[in-house]
Amino acid sequence: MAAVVIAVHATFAARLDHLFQLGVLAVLVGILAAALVMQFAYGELPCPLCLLERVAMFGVGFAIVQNFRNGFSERMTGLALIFAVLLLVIATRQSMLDIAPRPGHAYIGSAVLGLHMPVWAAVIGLLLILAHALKITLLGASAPGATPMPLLAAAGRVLGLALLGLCAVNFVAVVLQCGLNECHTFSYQLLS
Amino acid sequence: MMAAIFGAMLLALVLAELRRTLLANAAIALCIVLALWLFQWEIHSPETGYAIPWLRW
Repeated sequence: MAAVVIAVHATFAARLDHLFQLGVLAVLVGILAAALVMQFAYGELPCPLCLLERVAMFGVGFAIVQNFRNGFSERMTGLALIFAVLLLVIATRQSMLDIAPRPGHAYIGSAVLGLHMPVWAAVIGLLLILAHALKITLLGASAPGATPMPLLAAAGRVLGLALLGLCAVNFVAVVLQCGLNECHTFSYQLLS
Repeated sequence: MMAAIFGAMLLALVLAELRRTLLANAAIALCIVLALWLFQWEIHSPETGYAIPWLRW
């Protein structure tokens, strides 16, 4: 009886873990898509640190895609946390860069709910770390090799492909904006 | 450099989709190293190093 209860609990925890990772991936895809909308629809070219923040978010997404594609592993949770910390460090440094008004330095882009992009990036980094800490505290380590339910696996596949598509668009945009040189926010270097 | 970072990330995601786990992890490791190098290069100033003197009162 006790063995059955433990097995049911482990299965339930694994399902919640998969749902959690799917949720994080969906949020990341949404944020990265919104960043591209701001870039192309509103003409807000990303600065170098903004682009590095996108890389960090893609890194967290990569770790989750690896879990869904190649089996769940706590190593990928570690990788996601590394990228989340990288996002927090870059965003905090960028926020400090523009926090004191001075000539030539102002927050890039529009404010959303009164907060500018680097501040939002810091909040996202912090929330990613907290969410993973909470997940590990409540659910324990990801069950190695656990298979997600077919619906969750399909959703993970779709979101993984969406993340791949977003990364491809970002890659082309970066090549157009920066070429092989330093990135600037004035224009797309290869189009001017 | 930024193009190389996004190229490495794109490669890592493609390899993950193709279930080439080891190669995908190698590409993501390259991406992290390049991103860290570019980050420190972006925030470093020849005059003040990594300091942020505009926040000193």
